[in-house]
Amino acid sequence: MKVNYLANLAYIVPELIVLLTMLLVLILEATYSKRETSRSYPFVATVIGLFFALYALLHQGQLEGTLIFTQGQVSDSFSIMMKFILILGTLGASYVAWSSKELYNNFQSEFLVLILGGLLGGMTLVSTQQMLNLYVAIETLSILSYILAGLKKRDSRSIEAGLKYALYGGVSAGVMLFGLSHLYGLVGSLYFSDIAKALQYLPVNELTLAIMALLFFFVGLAYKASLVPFHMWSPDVYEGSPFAVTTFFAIVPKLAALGILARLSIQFFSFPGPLGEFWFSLLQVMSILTMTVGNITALGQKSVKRMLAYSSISHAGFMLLAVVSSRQADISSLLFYGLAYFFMTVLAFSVVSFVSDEYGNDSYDRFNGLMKHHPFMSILLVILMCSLGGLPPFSGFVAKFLVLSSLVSSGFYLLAIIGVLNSVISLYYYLRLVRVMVFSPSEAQEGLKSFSWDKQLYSYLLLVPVVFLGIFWNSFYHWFVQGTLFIQ
Amino acid sequence: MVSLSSFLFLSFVLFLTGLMLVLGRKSIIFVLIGLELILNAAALNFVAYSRFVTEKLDGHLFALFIIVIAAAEAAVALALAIRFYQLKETTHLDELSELKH
Amino acid sequence: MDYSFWNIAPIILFPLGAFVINAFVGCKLYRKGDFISVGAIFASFLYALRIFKDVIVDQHSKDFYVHKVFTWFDLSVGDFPFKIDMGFYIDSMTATMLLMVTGVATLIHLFSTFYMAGDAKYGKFFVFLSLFTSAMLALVLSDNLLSIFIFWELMGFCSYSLIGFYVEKEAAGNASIKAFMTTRVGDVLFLLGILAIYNIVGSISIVDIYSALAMGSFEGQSVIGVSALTFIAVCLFGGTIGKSAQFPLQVWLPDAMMGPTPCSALIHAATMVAAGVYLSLRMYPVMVAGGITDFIALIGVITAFGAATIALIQTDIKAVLAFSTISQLGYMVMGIGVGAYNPSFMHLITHAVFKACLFLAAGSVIHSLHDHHTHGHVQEMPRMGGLRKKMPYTFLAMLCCTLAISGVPLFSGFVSKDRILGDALYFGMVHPHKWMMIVPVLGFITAGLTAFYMFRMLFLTFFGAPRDEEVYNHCHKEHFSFTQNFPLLLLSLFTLGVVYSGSLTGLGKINIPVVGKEWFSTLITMPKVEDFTQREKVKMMDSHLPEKFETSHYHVHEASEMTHEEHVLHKAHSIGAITSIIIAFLGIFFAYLMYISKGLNPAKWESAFSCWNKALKERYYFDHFYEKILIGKGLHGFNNALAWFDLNVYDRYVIDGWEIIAKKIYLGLSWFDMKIVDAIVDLSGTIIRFFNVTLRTMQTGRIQFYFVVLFLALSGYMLLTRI
Repeated sequence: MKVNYLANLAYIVPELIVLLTMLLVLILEATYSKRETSRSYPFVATVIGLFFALYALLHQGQLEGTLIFTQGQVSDSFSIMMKFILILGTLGASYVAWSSKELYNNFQSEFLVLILGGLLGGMTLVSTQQMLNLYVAIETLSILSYILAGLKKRDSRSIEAGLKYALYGGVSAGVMLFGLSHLYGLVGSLYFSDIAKALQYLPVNELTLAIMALLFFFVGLAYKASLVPFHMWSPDVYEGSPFAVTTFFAIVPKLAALGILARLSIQFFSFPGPLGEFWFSLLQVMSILTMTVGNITALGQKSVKRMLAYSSISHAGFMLLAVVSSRQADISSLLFYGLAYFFMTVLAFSVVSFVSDEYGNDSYDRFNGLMKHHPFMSILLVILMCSLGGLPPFSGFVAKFLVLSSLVSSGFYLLAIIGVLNSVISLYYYLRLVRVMVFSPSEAQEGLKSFSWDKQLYSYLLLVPVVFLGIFWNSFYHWFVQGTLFIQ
Repeated sequence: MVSLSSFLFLSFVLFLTGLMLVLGRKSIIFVLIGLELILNAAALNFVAYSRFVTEKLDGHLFALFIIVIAAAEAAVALALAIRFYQLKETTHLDELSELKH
Repeated sequence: MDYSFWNIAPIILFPLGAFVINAFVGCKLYRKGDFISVGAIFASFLYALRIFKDVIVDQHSKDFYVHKVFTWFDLSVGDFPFKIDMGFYIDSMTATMLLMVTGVATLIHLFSTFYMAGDAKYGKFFVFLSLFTSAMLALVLSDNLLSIFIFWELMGFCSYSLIGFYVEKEAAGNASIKAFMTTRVGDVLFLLGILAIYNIVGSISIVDIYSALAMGSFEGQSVIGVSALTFIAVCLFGGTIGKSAQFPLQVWLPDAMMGPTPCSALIHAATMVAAGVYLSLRMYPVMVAGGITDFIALIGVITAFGAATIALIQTDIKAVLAFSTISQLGYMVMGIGVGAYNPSFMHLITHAVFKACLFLAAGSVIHSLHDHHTHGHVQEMPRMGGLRKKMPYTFLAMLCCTLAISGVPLFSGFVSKDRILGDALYFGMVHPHKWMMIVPVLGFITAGLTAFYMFRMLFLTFFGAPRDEEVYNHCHKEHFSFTQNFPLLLLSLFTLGVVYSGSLTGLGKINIPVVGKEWFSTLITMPKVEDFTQREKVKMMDSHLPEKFETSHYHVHEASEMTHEEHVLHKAHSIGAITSIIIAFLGIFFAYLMYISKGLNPAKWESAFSCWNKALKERYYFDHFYEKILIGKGLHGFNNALAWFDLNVYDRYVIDGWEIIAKKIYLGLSWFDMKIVDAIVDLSGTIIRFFNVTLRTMQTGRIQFYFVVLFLALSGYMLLTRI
């Protein structure tokens, strides 16, 4: 379905609203004086703008797919649902920024502008239908992320994180482009529909070149989703960046990359043939490696933030399993996992940021004996760790269960077993935090000042979806089942 | 008449050179130069394919985009590198390893 | 009836909220938060009152109302349905039960503020009470077997916690474990029944089960060889046997008296043990269709008779009440078995009221008798006596309730028990097997025994000269205290029979409560499953859709519909009424002779029936049987038999023919076990640790190393796909 050109704008209203919010924050930052109260104006503007974008997104009305911008983008229900989770992720990151003291006061509006820009890149990425759009979207997301990682300019760790991200991201983008260029030469077009047709009917003598090109191309996407062995930047970058930025990184680029991976896998490689076999076996190997390496490396960490970084790598591996099993084009499990993962991640990073604000670092020892002075927050963290580890009746369990059930129904029994084993391993480092909190003697004489009652209230409000999604997941799942891809 | 394969060969050589710089040199600036080489190799590839294989303008357009975005990326990377130099007084890559394990 | 979620759900949510609040901040609140629990259950009572008024008073008693709250999960794929919905089910039985539970619970909460005052774990007690009441109310409101099971188990947990409340008493801990384990046996059977039902019907909602029954979905199905209906009925009744302490799983209830007395009143007299009977009443069509009603009647009457005999010689006041509870539960189960649906439910309600009152009165007595040597309270009746003058209010309450339980006319117990006995007599008369007359015969004998031992308890406690002077002198004279006496007196008011058989809203007339149209009799009727097939599909409760409720008019089962059997019924009820009155008074008279006028000597009777006496003291050796013989000799014996077989037969055969090989195999296996199996276990830990260290070392922090890994992986994969 092609629409006349100006009507295309109706389909990107959420993106336009995000863009306008970006401009609004920039203007606000330029015009307000340095009073303390006006510190919150950019945040308020961001939140309002994002809520408008959410509203516009959910009222886009039609759910069947439409190609817009002369087949450059698509607007289907999958992209709408992915964008929904991405906007929520940005809201979460701005909440963490607002409640933690880590970002310098005069950089907070830069932070907001940059994550809004990153969100824009992510939203474009999940709805793209052309390779050029894909590249531009990835680069938008990435370049803004380099700046975000290095936002704490007086901290050498933050600069190091930004620089590592920039160098690694640049090289990976270069490799991706190299593969993409050969793919372009092979296929002759940059549009997904043409590429899909060409890949399906590829003559055998060009198969090798196609596989090489696809491998190079895959590097770029795999680096963004931090899949092993292209993940090595992410622990360092997550650890060095400020907490709010890490929250953003853990949700938006990761889910956007996995979304585009899902779209590519289903659009290009759902046909039987050697290329399909190659791609899906690649994905399977990647997912096994990612989960395992992510979990095993997380075991001995001393810093909770770094542990959470590795755990997000292993969660990405699990989400990749959802992509693997989506050979039957049912990616609802990926969407539900993304939603559950978002709530858990925001809550985890925000609570750890509170502890880190108080003490200056986020080692496991800072959590010693938290139960004594803050029983409510400790219980919240216990519930959160159990949910992250996949224990019922929380949302982490339901998300993993949905992925595993789609794996089993597609016949990937070995992958399901490995997924379950990895969940078991992950429980060790999650419950280690619980053990430290409950059983180790407390080193503090009084409670943490940063656990003020309003922060505890917000944390509990964020905990509600974690538990709620674990029990009343049925209606959400049925909404996500309608998230189908538009393939032409 | 220069054929497609010579373009491809050149771009491959550029890619390898860029790769060697990225992997081998210990200064941040050199890594950035290598990165630029890699990106330009890809751009050359696009132009070559577009000229010889598809006869369309897609590849040329893509190469323009690559140049623009590479410039932006280089700007950001250089800004971070300058800040790093101000903090650490060196551009040696081994100093860039405070976050590890 | 016009209900929304928020008209019904607060009944459960109030006590649940009280539980959450008290669990987290209770110890910091004023008076440890007991007023929250009491207030919550009283609020639930008001809501239950409203539902009761709608259902009973506004003459909607023939309707039922199902309200689906949410779909717990729906994993249907294609045409394979797998969907569990949770919802509320309200009919007249639910409404009455809700009113009873909330009313009795409110009064017991009130009494607990008096009884448990000064206890170190005062707040925790209310936490568990609130959790328990919310679970019980949710069970009563449930519309499907699965949520009944969930709340059944939750109540079992609360019972476990409350029985073992006094952690310093080791016997209390043992008793709580025993209670949990014994009811577990019943629960496993219950779960099997649920699974069988789900397998055949495809749903576990009560309404769906009824309509499936009417449509004949169970015909021809069989489970492990027996007809499906019989299997399901037996399994579901198994749940009742466990939870309502029927033979043979009655052993846990007497030991459950180790818990605090208000908990005994609420859980082990009025509500939790009634849940088993409630389940059987709900699933009554299944039981009838499964053909096990005779079996149910037999179990019920055996329990009733057996427990009544054991209660004859008990000396602890709570033990008498415990065995009396088991006996009355046996009456209810017997009532279900003989087809007395309405009387059985009525006895459930009346029993709850007077048994709760009896327990509370016993608690009042125990609380005021201090033993200064052991610093505890006195529970043994041989040390009581003559308390009538010192505790007049308690005596009045206990007198009313004892009269009720003994089946004296004008009291509620007579109304319900007599109707059960009348129906049992009718059942015995028309039953094809004449030996089933044993059911009503034993029922009547038990009624006499009940009267006897209850009045024995009353006389020993309140009449005569005090047997232990010290305890008697230290007992305080009772003043009227709101929390102590008001619950007792209010409950004993409801033991008067006029409440249950009087005319209310002009529905029935007051007449001889034998055959007549009392309001309670038109209240609850046996569900006719045919009427459940014409219902329309109920929509899910969705925020966009209005709720739908459904009404179904089903016929009131009136005894006057059939003429020939009405004669026999009338005759049976008349004989039954007269017989039960005579037997009750005989029992009271015997008790009077033994304990007041000392005409008969109890000791002589004991020695005359000495072996039976010994059996009674040992509670018919049930505990002995379970612990020493079934587990001790049975399981161990089985183990030993297997070991003997293994050692002597297998080894001998192997050694004779295969001596060398056998030795080598043995050596190999032990080496395998030690070196390999243990090594695998250690190795898995070592491997993971090794990889952890390796991977963390690989994360060198130097970015060029990261690039190297990237390109190595890329080229590695390229080579792999080439090969």
